[in-house]
Amino acid sequence: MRCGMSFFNATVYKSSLKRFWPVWAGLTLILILLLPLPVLNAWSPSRAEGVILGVGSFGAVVLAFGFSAVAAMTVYGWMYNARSTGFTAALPLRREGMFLSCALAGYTMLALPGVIAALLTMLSGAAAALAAQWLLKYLLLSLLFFGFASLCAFLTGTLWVLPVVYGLLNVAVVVLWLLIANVLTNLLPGYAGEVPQAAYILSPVVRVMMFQWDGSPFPDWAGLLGYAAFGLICAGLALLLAKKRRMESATDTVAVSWLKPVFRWVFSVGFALCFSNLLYLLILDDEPYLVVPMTAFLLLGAFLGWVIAEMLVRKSYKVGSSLKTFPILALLIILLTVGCAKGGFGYSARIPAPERVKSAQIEVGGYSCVTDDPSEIPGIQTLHRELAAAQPGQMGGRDVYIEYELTSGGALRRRYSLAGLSEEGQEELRQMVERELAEGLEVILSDNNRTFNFYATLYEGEEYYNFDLSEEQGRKLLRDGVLPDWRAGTLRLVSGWAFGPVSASEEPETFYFLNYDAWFRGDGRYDADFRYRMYDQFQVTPEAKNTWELLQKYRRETGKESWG
Amino acid sequence: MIEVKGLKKRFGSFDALNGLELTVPTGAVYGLVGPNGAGKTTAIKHITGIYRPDGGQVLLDAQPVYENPEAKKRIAYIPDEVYYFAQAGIRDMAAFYRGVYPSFNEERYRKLGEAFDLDDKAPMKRFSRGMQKQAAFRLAMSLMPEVLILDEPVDGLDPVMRRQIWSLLLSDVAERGMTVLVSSHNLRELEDVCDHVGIIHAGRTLVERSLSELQDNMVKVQLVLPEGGALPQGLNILHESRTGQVITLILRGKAEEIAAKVAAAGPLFYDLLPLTLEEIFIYELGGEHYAVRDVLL
Repeated sequence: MRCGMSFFNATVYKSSLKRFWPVWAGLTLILILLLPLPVLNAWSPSRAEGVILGVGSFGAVVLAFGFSAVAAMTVYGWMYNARSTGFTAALPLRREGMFLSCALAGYTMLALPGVIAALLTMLSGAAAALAAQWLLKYLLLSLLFFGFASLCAFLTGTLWVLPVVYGLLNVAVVVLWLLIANVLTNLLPGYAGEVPQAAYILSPVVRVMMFQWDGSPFPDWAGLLGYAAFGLICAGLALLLAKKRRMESATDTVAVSWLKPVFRWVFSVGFALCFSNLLYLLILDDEPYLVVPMTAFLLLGAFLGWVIAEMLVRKSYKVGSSLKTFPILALLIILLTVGCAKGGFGYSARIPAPERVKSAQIEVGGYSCVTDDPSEIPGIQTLHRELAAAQPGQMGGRDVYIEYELTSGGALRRRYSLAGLSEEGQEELRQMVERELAEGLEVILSDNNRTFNFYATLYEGEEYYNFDLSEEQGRKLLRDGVLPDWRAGTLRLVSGWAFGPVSASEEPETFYFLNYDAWFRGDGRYDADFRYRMYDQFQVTPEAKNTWELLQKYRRETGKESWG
Repeated sequence: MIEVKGLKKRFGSFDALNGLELTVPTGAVYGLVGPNGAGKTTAIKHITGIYRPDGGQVLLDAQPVYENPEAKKRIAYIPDEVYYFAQAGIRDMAAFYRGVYPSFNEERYRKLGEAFDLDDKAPMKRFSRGMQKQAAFRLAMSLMPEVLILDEPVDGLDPVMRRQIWSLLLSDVAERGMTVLVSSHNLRELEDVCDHVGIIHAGRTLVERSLSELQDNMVKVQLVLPEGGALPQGLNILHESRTGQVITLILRGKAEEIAAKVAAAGPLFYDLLPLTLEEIFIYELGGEHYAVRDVLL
């Protein structure tokens, strides 16, 4: 029964597996229902593969994630009350031995059901190679999530806190980044509010789930191996904490003494971000750049977060004396919000020197103008300067994005409000976008690998009717109608779509809406590399003579008119 | 021998142990006593290697106990509230101990089963508190420990079972030289079994001696003085009370020396009485401002 290795005790290992058998037995049952059973029922090999790639792969992520927390709660459960802690710590076992025995038992609880499910799937004879891949993925994910759960287990002394911390830390970086981005979007002019890829990578369950949503269940073995290694590192850190753990920390919310102030600050900041975002949305309807209310919400949220964190750490409602360091956080919040409102210490107005710009792009309402022509970049930068100089009263409404690809390899992306541009500026921007669109139309018209769907709607007063055009008609319409009228300045992108809503009084009485979709010929899939929009809409009035006449002609030719 | 040297432990802003010093000789039955909150359980959790000391050390035959499986193998510990795995019966717990403690003795486990009439297979959670204590004794004594540490060991046990357990423990002390460290508020019972006593208060050792030394060093005197007579000089009086003409004194010192001094004062009557452990406890702590207060309600 006894093992000679001082870092492993077979009795502890076997006892954990025996006592918590419902965990691994339950997981085995779920996995059998999820994988070998549907595979056996599949009527074709491709259907069997579909089961493994679909529900099997998704289940691997969800079950490894969920059951890792359950396994950690069972095998490390002895750390969370004084009686069991006293019993375990008095045993003649090294802490390393206790940790490793429990950790291996926990991983076995996860791995064994996976092995059983995969073996049964392989025995069914269908998709054996894919089942082996599934098993490898499941084992790597279990290593990641159980290692992470082990680390979380040693951060706290309270059982219920373990799954909460585990769940939160799995998504924390992305969620915090989104919350910060939302606050900055409402405080910092120019902030584009994007979540960097690193934030997803640091949020394991989000990243792994994204593989599923991308439709690639076994996508990145190197990535999965990296995550498994990360799980092992977490387990290593858990071992270090296990060696230093104070047994009197049982029932403490935060079991590591030096983490208590960190917890107070992080919890307070996180609470401030959640609270302020919620209040801003509920009370101020997400109206941007209201600095004073946002600062007030952040301060109130931070204060509440601080008090709650302190209550959790002290396990007491009496937290008055701990508030003396809160003013430091409050001051930091005020400095940051005021700093953001004042341009983010130069962030909002930062425009790279033209010689440092490789290419520039300006985008509004989904339409963009991209250029790497050095003579065109100053034009975009002129608009950029005007947008960056906008006052708070000129903000809100449609967004304009400006992005520079720098010669250094970096990028600079900013977001402003279209309302910040003067009428001349807006006209300049419209011309840029339309020029780009016209060029794009010419390119796709000359490309026979694309197919088009055209349809038009004629509005006459309160009534309207739709009709389809053949591809030949559509191509002719674009070539002989839209492009000449565009060059003549009599046809424009529908203003309501690209540049803000058109009031009803500005709409003409009679007009066509012309719509087209550009598709790849053959497989019917969108062209991911297609530089121009594949879906555009034009408002055509009699002023656009060429387009109008062609549309009138085609409408008569179709003969099928459906009136609404 | 267990040596506790300058042991310190702080919980937040509270000093639970403040330089505790204890010495438990091998083969002794050592009673650790002190008021509530004195640090007895904290001290025990250090001696069993559960808590890491903030200062000082705990040694078992000159070897540190903390994180030392070799030392811990020699120690069995029965806490105030017995722990067992959920759903586990005595048999399951014995199987666990068997795998963890090399000294687990099957023969003894079987024989102790006769002393404690408990169902091996029944989950321990169904047992009463007293039955759980019995199970804990059976398991702990099956480990053949060199040191047995008990925290409020007989709480919940009926008088017969108390006597049964003490009898088993003392026979182990006599036959195997087992050392017993016992913390209890039942001083009457400790007086019967302990040969050494340590009194601790506020995390420090107040007094630590063999029981006989402790009793020899404190005397209760009842005397009646003649009219106008005065108490003799040079007495170390811990407590004084009067009932009519009878004066009762609790004195620190050797009985012979005190008797001589009292006799020299010419009392009409005097008598020297031995103190119980409970009285020693009360009067020792009285000097530490921990005394029974006269509160009128």
